[in-house]
Amino acid sequence: MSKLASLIMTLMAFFPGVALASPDIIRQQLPQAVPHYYKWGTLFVNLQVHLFKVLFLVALIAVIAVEFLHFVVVGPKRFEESGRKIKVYNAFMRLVHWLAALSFTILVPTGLIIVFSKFFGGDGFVRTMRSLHFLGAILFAIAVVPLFLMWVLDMLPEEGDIKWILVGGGYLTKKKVETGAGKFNPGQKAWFWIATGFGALLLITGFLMYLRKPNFIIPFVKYQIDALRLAAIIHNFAALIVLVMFLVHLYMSLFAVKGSLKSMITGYKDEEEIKYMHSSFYERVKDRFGK
Amino acid sequence: MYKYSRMKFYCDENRCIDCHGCEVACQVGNDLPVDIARRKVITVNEGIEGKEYSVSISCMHCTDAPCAQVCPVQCFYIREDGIVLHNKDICIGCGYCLYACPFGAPQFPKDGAFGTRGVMDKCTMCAGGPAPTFSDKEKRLYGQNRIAEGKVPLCAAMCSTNALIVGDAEHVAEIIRERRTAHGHGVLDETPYGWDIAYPNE
Repeated sequence: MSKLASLIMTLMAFFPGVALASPDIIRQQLPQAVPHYYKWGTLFVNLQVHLFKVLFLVALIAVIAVEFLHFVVVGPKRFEESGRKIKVYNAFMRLVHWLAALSFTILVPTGLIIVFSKFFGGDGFVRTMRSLHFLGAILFAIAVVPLFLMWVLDMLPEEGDIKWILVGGGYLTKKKVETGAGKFNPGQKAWFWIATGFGALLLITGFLMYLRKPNFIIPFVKYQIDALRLAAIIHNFAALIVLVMFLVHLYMSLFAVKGSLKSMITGYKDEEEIKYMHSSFYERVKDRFGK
Repeated sequence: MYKYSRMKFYCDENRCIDCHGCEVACQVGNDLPVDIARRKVITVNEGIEGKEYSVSISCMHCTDAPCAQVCPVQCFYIREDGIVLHNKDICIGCGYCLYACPFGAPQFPKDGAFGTRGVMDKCTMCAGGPAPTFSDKEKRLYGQNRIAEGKVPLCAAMCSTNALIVGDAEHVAEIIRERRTAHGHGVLDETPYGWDIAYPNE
């Protein structure tokens, strides 16, 4: 903890507007009245002042830059339509997916607006965005359970995943390579587990912050305010990871693999794409392709 | 101690009789809604003989105000006399100031859409806010501006035992020092009760 504090002190030199008070002065008036009140408060203040905004900005720029570079250097994957298709997503899956997608399209931009609310000037605009953030959370809370249940078995690790990782998912080359992935590749699996796992974490911590005065006992935390501080810290870190994965998912589906958006709309995937991008899945279902 | 004057609260725990008068004065004088408590009296070591005492807590107007540091819209400003105020027009009600505050001073009404937090409300040391002094808007959003009238804040003004005192930090410290000497406690072992850092170094 003290190491982190000293690291933060060093970092602080770059942010002249937000110096902490010099440590040499005087004790506070009410240390007994509020025992251990500083426990998570100090950490929260340090993280919020020095880290969160920077992390979000770096993540946002870095991910978009890498995606742009990939688009320019490697370019999108295109597959000629063979006409032989197979249904991979039924209507229920698509409905749940698009509900979750809608919630994320609300949650991610509004969340970023809250993080960078100084840039947007605060006031009614950001307040509206906060309300929208809450609305998006409700949509996600509806979508997350069926989303988890309908795909959890497909998302378990498989043998072909190792090959996919070794060939970099086939995304690092312009050639078409058989990636060895099953119905879902490890990238999709990682996104699934992060979206549902961290998504649930975000829902819980967000709900705690919404309650303001959680009137029930929270494990590991003695004081309500510490629960809220922890919730805010966890919420920020989890949101950071989800943001990165969401941007990657967005890029993959919209730009990197042509036709993947179409498959989530119609539910059908073309043989040509499955043969390469999900080759071990192809072995299992190649008899079932129809016109 | 300070190069310039800084307004500070101090509650003398030897004098506070737990009457909650300051709470009521603040609540009524500033027309606050029921769920907003800018000031609260708490009792420490309740029931333990000889150790029990009460103090009145509100915003302590910290010099390094953590709330002002964490605010994502930077709606806080610290007046030259050290009073920490914030702009309710800009505040988005994210609650970060509450998480940063060691005293639980920031208050949030439940009036946003979907019952989310409304904009923050806290003790202004009866110094109004950024709205024009003595305007209706200032009164409605921030309460009375007694400092501009040359008066002591409501809570300290009504304190029947003079436990709660407010003013320039040096004067307040002087009063406390006199009281302690009169009681035979001797001078304080440290510089009297700094209000400087919100979080003591561990």
